[in-house]
Amino acid sequence: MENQAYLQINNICKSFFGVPILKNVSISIDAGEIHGLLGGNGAGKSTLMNVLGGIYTKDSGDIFIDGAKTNIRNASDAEKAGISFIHQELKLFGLRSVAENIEISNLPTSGPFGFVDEKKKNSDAQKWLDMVGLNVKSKVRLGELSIAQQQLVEIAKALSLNAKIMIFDEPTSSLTAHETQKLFEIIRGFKREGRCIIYISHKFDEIFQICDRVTVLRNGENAGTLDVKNATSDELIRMIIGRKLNQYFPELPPAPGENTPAVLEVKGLENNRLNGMSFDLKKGEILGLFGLVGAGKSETVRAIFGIDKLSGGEIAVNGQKVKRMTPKRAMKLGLSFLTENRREEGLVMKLDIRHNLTIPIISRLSVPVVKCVKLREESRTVDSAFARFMIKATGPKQRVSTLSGGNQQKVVLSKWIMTNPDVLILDEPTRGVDVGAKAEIYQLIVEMVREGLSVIIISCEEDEILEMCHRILVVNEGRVVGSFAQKEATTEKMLKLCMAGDEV
Amino acid sequence: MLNNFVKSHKPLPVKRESLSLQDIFLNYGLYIAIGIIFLCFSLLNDHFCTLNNMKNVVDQSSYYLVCAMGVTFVLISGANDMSVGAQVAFSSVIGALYLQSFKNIPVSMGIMIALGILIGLVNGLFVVIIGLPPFIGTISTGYVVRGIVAYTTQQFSVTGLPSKYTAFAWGEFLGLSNCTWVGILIVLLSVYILNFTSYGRKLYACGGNRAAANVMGINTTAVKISAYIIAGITSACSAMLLMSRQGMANSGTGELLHMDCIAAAVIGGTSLSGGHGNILGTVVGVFFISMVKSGLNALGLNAFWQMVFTGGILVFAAILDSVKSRNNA
Repeated sequence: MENQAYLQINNICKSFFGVPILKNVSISIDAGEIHGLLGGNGAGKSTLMNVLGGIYTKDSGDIFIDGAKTNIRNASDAEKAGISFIHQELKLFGLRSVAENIEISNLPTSGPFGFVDEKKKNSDAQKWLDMVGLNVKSKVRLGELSIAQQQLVEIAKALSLNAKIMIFDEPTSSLTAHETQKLFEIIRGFKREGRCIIYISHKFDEIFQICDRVTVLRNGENAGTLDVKNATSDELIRMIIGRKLNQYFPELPPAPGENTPAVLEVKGLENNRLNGMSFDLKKGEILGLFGLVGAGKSETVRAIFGIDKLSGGEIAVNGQKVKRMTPKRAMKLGLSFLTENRREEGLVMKLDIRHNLTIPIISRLSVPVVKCVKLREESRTVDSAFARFMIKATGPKQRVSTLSGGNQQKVVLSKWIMTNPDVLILDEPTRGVDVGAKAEIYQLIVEMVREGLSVIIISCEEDEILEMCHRILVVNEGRVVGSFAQKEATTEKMLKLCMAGDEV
Repeated sequence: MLNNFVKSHKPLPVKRESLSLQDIFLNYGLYIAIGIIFLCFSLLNDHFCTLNNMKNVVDQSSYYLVCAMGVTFVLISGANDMSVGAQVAFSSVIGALYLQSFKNIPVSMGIMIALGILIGLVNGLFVVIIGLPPFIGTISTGYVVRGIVAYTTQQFSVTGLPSKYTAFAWGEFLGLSNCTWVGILIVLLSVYILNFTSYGRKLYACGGNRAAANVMGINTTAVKISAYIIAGITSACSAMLLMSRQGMANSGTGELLHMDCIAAAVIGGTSLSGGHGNILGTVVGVFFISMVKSGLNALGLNAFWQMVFTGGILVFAAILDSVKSRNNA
């Protein structure tokens, strides 16, 4: 072959239902290279990787591995070609042992009846576990491990299959900063061994930290490949959205004064994850909750909205104390809550956009007593939401499962804003959302706040918290350990508080 | 990309490729199959494709249609009801025993409906509150209920119903039998509830994603239990029609009715995993299965062949459904 790249992807095309998702994508990746893959949601990253992993079959184009043309028709072809895909959502068996999970594709057998050789299975697995530096017994049931450890098991599995090409799909989305650094060490080790690594992420700092080169996909096309050394985040953003974003974060309306009444007061919340959580939210304020994974941020708002139970504490909305909160009661009191996981709790994937948008307000759209939905009013409401929230779809009858992540998030957000809340709680409002949609979502939030809405934002992204909040509370071990006004907060100060809490 | 978002308030045109053979097969395969089978029966039997026969089939299957409505609600709610056949036997026997001694028709109907609601609540308790798998929870209720009636009646038929009651099924109105009219009424009511009320929307949401529905302020426990109650009520109505037609009640009634109902719903496009389905599809499914049964009967094939046929069609429908949903994923 004329090129020396270990993995050469040439002119891959793939379309679904006549809609092209990948258009002549070509990428080449050398052995011993960590290659970043960036792109907005719906840009085709996952589709491309699924083609490589044998989950989808390509419509046209060629894949060369080590100079040889390789035909990947299914996952086992990919496995034979030495391609391993470490998925964002782990695909492991929680009820089986770690060893079983690692060796499942080629269990060692012995004896005339082909019984599984338990001893060899466990010792083999232990060897791979040692290689990724995971200090657990291979006989342990997988479900007992933390998410970070389970991820290492998946990587160990990839090693056991002798993977030459490893694809990491947003591997750090559920890891803490420390765990992330550990993972990076392991990935760098693979690089030294001459493996070919594809690293998909939304986070620029990770790309800058670990990748050698980065390819940006946009609308199913290769928007360019850069050496990370010469790349800047502005340049990458420009490539992802196709033009320069002059203002990524909008300007916030002024913070409410000292005497502004509180719309939400929370005192001493207690349950198995919360430990005396107290704060208040003023009218027209954007309050940020910051903390490490597992600090109790999501648990706090889930309890406030009545999804998780409380064993103690008080919640007052507009000065009115609430005894036992349920989501229904919370909505009546003017709260709304965008959950962090839109697939599981945000959307009903089987339904179309229209039905998803109107579920929370369906009673308001119905004739009393007979409960008949006023269809004309409903479609008017939905049409206005489409225009106002800039949802990009073929129409209100498109199924939400076929939308890109950014548009799905806009559907969830508009669904909640249409309930006319006083308080909007946003748990990871831009997770899995491309940069363009992100900017639009920020803009929407700020507009709503100008009209008097109060917002709580929870986010793992420090920028989002620093730029989008009037006031920031640092949460650790289920309570507030520090509070900053927007001007005085920095990442270092916030992280310091998070770490300090750990030692107590 | 940002520009696109701003400009695209209006629906974007959907790119449409010419229909491939596969698409035709997936979308219309079932109707094609139904058409072919219908044609075969018509050719093999002169009597089959007559208005009288069709009316007869519809009349005969009205109790089945009514029962399948309730099952469709349960399937859409994301659960399953294996007890409707036993429920029909149960409420018809209890209702008939009451009528035998007291002859009060409205009260007997009230009792049957109340029993339907009660069994629906029990199913709901098992499946929704305790969290048993729907299959196990409802099959157990079915066993218990059928056991109770079999014991009460010692497997003899309960007869001696008031003549007014039995006459209902044989009466006609505007050229259609009374049973057919009851069927039509309940179908229309179901369509209204499912497609035009806020309750219907909530039911679809619960079936599609219970956790999300919960966050949106829907009382998912109540909605899911209500689907079982609806199935209980339709089972009771179905039992009334059956009693009126047969002039008696029997503990062995509706042995495979729950399977027939699920089959009809699946043939009509209702998903077994919940959140998807429609009433008119179930209506088509019910008539299709009834027609196949009656057609095979007319050809002199016995009931076992009918089962083989129904099973075959069900598998075909299920395959189409799973291929379609795989393509949509």
